[in-house]
Amino acid sequence: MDANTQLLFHWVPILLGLLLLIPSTSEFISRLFIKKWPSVSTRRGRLLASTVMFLIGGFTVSAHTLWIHNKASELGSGNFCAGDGVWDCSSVIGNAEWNVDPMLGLPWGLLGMLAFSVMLWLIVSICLDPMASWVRNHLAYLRVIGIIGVFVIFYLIYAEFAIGKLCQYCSTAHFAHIMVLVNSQLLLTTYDQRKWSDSKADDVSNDEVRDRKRKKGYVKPKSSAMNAPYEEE
Amino acid sequence: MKSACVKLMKLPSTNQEGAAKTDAGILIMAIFFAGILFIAFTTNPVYVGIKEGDRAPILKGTVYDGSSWVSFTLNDEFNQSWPEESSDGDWYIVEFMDINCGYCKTSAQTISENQQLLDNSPATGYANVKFLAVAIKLPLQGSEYTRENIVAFRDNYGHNFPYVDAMDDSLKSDWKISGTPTYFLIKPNGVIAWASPEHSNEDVWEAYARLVPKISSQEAN
Repeated sequence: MDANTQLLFHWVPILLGLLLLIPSTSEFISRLFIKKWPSVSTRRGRLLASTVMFLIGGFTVSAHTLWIHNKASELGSGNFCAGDGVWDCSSVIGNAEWNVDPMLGLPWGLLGMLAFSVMLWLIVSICLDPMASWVRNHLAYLRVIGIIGVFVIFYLIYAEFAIGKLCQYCSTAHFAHIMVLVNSQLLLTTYDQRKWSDSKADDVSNDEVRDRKRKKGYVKPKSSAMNAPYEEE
Repeated sequence: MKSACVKLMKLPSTNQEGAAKTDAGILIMAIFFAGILFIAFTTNPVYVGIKEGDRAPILKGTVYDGSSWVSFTLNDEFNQSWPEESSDGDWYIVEFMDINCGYCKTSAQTISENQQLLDNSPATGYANVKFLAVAIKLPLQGSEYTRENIVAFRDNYGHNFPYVDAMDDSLKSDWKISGTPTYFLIKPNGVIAWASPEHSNEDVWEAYARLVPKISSQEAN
């Protein structure tokens, strides 16, 4: 299986993320997952699922890039995804002058794995508790990492022009990262416009989220139902 | 008291929020380390460095080839798919030297005496070995460091191999040069076969005879 065919596997979650994001297709796609993940019936759920998909695609392609980097170092850069055209990841990932970051000397693939892991943690924790008091902070961190990543992408595109080749694996990771940045902005907008909470899907109200923030987490239970766990048997 | 403890153990909302972050953290760390372990078990990278077995760092600069100064990158000369033990391909001896250092001047004389061993395969009976002198600045007090001095030094010892002007210290840190002369014998695939800082009892010419493969008699003819 050649390198371009292998790359398609990384595009599967990214395309799924795109389909969940595009309004005309998101309804249809979400129906496929609604039994397993009921939250995709809401806009928030679709946005979160779409972001997770982009991040999974970005993470796996970064890991693959690190693998190619190591293999290129082990066996010679000419043995992987080399091409006569402008798309030639071997010439980019195997280029000793540009294939590590200039400050720490770490391979770009490893940095990509780390960045996508941190972003995955931010977003998965929101998926697990979407009404937590730190949700907006996590979304803001996600956007900050997204913006910093854009500068890194500019640097790497500059490197590709300096080398004179384009790396299809790196470009896939860049695309995934840009889409995560777009989604982080959409999620933040959704949150700030108070469209975040869905009464059917969530068991905690918007009021409680605001209370948790104001009181640094703890909220005195108001309803009898919420008092129930604290009652002695 | 007992009821208070029970209440605390019944997970108020803050603990649930923390649990979400912890659960996500454990999941993501597991995925990350699974990825790293897979890469670690399926690859065996050769790291860039100056120790034997490392891939030689970038050596790029302006080189005097006997007639003019031209830009040159040693790493472009390497063939990374060179098969080990093959007598094909060009080996490189790279010498980091200072044109004003006494040891380098003594060494320059020895190099002149052994110059017939350089870029002269199959007459030598060994795979082809090229020599590259890299002129750095230590610096030594009261000494002049100009390109004219490099050319004069080269001509003075009758050397016919190229000299790189690296007197701007651009290569000194990457190659971790602390003294001169420092020698590296580099395989045709760019991997360092021998480095003088690791061998106090063997000189570069002895390393040449020990490590550079001999060519078969058929090839020699």
